[in-house]
Amino acid sequence: MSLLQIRSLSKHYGAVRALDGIDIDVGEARIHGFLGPNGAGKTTAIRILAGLIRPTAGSVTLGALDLLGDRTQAAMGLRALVEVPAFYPGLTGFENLQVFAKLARAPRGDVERLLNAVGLTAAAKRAVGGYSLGIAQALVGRPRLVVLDEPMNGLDPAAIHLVRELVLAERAAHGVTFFLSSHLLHDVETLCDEVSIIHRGQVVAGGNIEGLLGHAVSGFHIHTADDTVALRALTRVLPGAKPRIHADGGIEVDGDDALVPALHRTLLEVGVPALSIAPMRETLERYFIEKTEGVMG
Amino acid sequence: MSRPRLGTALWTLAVAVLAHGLVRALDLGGLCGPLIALCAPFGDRAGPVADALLLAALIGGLPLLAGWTGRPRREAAPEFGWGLLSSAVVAVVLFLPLDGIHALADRAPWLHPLLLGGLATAALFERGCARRLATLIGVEWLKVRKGRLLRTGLLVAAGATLLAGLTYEAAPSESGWTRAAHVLGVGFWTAEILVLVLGATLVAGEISQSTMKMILPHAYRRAEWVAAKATVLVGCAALFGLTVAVVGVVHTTIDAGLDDIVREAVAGFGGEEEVKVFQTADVMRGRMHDLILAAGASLVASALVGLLLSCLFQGLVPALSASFLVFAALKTGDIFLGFTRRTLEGIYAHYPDELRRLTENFGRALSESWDDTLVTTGLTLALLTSATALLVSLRIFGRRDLHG
Repeated sequence: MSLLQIRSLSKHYGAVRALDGIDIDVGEARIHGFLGPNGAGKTTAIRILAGLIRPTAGSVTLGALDLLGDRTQAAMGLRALVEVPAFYPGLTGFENLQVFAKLARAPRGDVERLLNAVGLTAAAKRAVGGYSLGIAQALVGRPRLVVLDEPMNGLDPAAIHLVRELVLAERAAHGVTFFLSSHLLHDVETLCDEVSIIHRGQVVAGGNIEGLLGHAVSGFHIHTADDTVALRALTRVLPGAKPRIHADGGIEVDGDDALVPALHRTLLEVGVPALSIAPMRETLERYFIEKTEGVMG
Repeated sequence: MSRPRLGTALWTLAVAVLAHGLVRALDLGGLCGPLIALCAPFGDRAGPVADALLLAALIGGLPLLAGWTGRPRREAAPEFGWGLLSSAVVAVVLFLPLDGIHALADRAPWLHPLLLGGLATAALFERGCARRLATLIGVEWLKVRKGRLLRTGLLVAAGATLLAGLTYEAAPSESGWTRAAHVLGVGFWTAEILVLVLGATLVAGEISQSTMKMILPHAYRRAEWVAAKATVLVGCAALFGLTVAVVGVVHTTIDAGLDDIVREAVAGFGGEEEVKVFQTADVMRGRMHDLILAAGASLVASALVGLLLSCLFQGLVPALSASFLVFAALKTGDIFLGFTRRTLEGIYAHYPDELRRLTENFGRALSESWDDTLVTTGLTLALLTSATALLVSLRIFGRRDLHG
């Protein structure tokens, strides 16, 4: 049973279809990456989940409760951080977090726990901001589902590490489910269990990352005793595999498992046998570009 | 395509009854010559029908129009049309056969508060609502209390009141009551613009500084947010009123005294000078109480009008600009907009000024007649304006898409 079920969700602005009937399922305690180029409809979908805009059609259920109909029950376990976090300028870091703790009816001590987790205990009595406090706001009150919109955008490596660690820790400790959009495909690939790729308002691909990428071999990385001779031979015999020297050494070729016997045969014929032939997996970045027709976010 | 629902129709009906009092007081029916001409087939009922249609357009149409923003025209247009039509039908059905609604409202002054209470109950009091509302009021109060606007505003209002007292030049024959009325007039004038600004920042300010998108995902209805903001705003208006009243009355009592108003007259040729009590201090205290009450109600109404403007605009600057324009219309409409006396009598903000003028004249021992209906009319208009502003705010904010 999915925790979050999005069905036929649409948002139209006149003739523009920002969202055009998307279906997404997110299971309990999963980290779901929501990818798409700029203008694909990611933020629109996230704004609908956050209750900021109303959809034209469709339904969203969270734990079998209708999120669009009555948020008072369904959104109890939902937190959302849309774009950059914002803070009340007159309040200290502690008071800002306290506002959200009250709204979430968080247990006593949750504010201190989260300030400690994001390393802001010492700054709690000052008017502080930053993404660390923002994500603490999104995690207050032990939510079931946290929606994060571009959580790693514009952050320095240390902050990205902090966000990643917090996400993994909250999922491990409390079974929190995350639904996050991002442009940083490498981070999504390492952090998320599953992804949905949205393009022009429609989900064009989705599923478990290993399922999407794991079985697909896109090419091979070959090491030989003499790469120059090997490259010349491969280029002559297998031009379709586009042999090329890799920046870190060795030769790269495109192709699937069927190419392996031909590779071995060609290299043996020129007297430079392969020391290793390592399959190259499909990366999320390549997969994303393929699904979105080359439009990068 | 959505169809009008019973709840929507009942909502419109109740708001129409509430707002009808306002329309009558403003005499909008009289200003709507073309609309009345359109309603000519209704004969001697053309006036009420025009009122009803105007209300339908205002109450049913404006929020629907606001909800239209950002929605596909093809889908929103029928809903807008249905909303307008249902509002018109409800309003006409209500006013046409029930000609006596005017008389009923006059005979039963509790009708409007009862309707307001009923609406608020129906809108808010479902399971768990009281607890959610209490939480939101606590949160809103924390934000307002810690913000600069309330503290600075209270200081400014108190300072303006005190300054008016310190710089006042009393005529030899006038009593402290004239000074008190003048000082309170300045204080409430200042407080009125401050609460209007405070109201205008509550929603638009949160949208501008992006905190709205942080709080709305939580498990509360938008109506509850508006209700909590309105509650805190009413509390702030009361705080402003109390500050001005305390500073004004205490300063005048210390500086000039608030005693009986006397008239000195010579009883005939060669007679001795006679001193007569023109108005006792007790009577004047009652009038001052009425003045403060009417001014306080006016503050509440202005604060909620500010909240309505705040719900209408996405940005803080347009909301503040609109609130300044509204303030100018409320306070100087006769000078700049050519409002007639009859129009002014339909505006809640007119009554505190009128009561202040009367009190000042009494303090000078001038012959004036105190009109008790000024207080009740001022309070009724302030209540009606507050109720209408609150309900329209609930409606608009509840249906609005928040972008940016």
